[in-house]
Amino acid sequence: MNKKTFRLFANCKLVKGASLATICDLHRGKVYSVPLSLAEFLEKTKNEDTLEGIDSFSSEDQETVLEYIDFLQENELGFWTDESERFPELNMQWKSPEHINNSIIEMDQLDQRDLKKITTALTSLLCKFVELRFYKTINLDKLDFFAKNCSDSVIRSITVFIPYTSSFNIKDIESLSVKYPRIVLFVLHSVKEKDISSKSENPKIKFISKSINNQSHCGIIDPKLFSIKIPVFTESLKFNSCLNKKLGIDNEGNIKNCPSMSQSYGNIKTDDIEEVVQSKQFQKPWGIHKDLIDTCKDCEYRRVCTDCRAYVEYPENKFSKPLKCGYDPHTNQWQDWSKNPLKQEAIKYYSFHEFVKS
Amino acid sequence: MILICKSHDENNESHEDVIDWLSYHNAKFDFLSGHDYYENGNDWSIELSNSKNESSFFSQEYQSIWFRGFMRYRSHFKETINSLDSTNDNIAELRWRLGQETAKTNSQIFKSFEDSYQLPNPKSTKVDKFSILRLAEKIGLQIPISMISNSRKKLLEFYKKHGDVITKPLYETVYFRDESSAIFFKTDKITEESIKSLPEKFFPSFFQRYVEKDIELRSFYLEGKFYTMAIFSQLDPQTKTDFRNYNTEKPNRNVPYLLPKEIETKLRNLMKELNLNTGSIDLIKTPDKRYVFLEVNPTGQFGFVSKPCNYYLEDEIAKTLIQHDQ
Ligand code: SF4
Ligand code: SF4
Repeated sequence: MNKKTFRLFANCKLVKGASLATICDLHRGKVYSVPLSLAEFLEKTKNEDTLEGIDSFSSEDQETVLEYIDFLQENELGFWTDESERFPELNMQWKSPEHINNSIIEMDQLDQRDLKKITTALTSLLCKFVELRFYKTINLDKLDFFAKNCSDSVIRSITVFIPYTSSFNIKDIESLSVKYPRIVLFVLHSVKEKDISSKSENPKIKFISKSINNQSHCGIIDPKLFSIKIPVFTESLKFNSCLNKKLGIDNEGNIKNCPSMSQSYGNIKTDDIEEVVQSKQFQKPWGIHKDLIDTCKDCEYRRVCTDCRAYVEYPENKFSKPLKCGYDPHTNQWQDWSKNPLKQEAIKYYSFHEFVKS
Repeated sequence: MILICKSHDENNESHEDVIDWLSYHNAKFDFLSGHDYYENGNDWSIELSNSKNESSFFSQEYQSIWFRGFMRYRSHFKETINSLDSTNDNIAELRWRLGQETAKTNSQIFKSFEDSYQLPNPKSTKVDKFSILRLAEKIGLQIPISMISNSRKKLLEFYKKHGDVITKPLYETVYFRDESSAIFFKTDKITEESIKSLPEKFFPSFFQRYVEKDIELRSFYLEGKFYTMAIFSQLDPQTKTDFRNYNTEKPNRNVPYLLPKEIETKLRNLMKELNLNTGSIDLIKTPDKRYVFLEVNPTGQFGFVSKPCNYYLEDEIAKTLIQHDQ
């Protein structure tokens, strides 16, 4: 009889951590935690006779392994085959047709001349996704100007954060959303309880009570934000899971990897955005992938997790773990990061006490 | 310069992705759609006389053509036809004739880029499934037992002899819709009841013995190379006959697959015979491990193969077009 092999589907990828492994179902977007020993067994036997492999376990363990295989089969994560050589592994290449993939722009203090420079650069950098942040002020003319100047770009979506004020006419936003289909989402932040009545039927307009009045809201690591997809997985092997091909312009016009990062590589008022973006220094953080980052390198979520380089546990160390992650891959516990005694120093450093409390 | 030939209302993500890659590689490209050369758009002429053979179709030279389609015929003389005080028969004939005229005109238009690299050659895209099966069989590929017939008696015999039978269009599997209804030309299972409900003689149709499958295979062919994907549709009864009946909750498992070399060689021969340098090939692997060839779609979709298998076919296509644009 032919050998029979139990194989995971090629887009269900094993990732081994310090004490647990995951199966990342990159097709259906789910993550399953499994014991390390099972992961090792599946890896070892992926071209062998699985049942023969199981024989090497004690009879008690054999049962557990078989139960697990049933579980995997039931959840359609794997299949039996006697032609495992016909099923190659997923290739791990990653590439994307943009020089800059996404961009975050702080709008409050930029003027039209600045915005014109930015849209011109984003167009030639083939940028696809843009996030515009108004923290304190709201100027819809600027927004209109920005969107209008993107008409020749390949931008697929623009998300806008806007502070809610009572003087605000929701109709103006609604008409912008019709005028510019590329603006896919307006997030009105800092909405007070009493304003709740003024909601909109428009699905592209969202109201949140949280105030996004500075950069420090960003950088949260939460399993709800994991993106369980092939390009995310493959990108994470060699590139940073947040900053790769990202461009940030802060309120002062500084050209950064993201507005929250302290390092600036130039200013749009004096420097050429495209030139800065194409420089070696600017792209250096792009290469800080999860296997280089403390703790993350031991984590079974590292291929689907987001990352943050702006807020880290030890701010002087660029390979430090994201500050706002509460996961410990050694104990497999999720904790509230803001209460962790070891992180208080860093929290003070970034001085977002107020934010943590709210 | 590259020319992307497509019908003007055809827009999908795979196209956009290829265009993104072309831009990324700094390629120059234009679009061509039949829509812009009929009742709308530019002036053009193709002139022929004893002393002259001239086409003013393009003002540019295009070295490399990506052919995804050209136009849909339905839209000509819409208002005229709607206002015609005539019988349905006449209107049907008129439409059919107009279709023939457009086809002939288009093939003259396509002549203007005959000497360029074409992916694929538009002349090779209009083959019917039965002819392809004939060729495949000659080349030594296994095919499903197939029949075209107009007879209930013949169909019943076929059914009795072969068990499960399916029917599908000889030309393209499509659906089209307007506000009030949608019409499908698709693969469907034939049952004894459905045969009994047929008149004795019916519109000649294409039947095939249903091929038991272990897995379905889709292979995207590009200049000699195969990018194959296995579809585990058998896990889910909802998609048993045709995986296009999607189950969105639990999409079929799609994974990369390696065809045996000898099957690839035969398929390569088939594509050569069909004068196709690209196409989407459907096969079935049966539980007893035979590879049964079903059909080729010259301008078939590729995004659904590219994405789950991480093949980056969009970039491969872009690079192929660029390579010939010298
Ligand atoms: S590095 Fe951190 S703060 Fe900057 S964009 Fe990424 S998650 Fe946000
Ligand atoms: S340790 Fe935290 S930030 Fe690092 S990969 Fe794991 S979950 Fe993500």
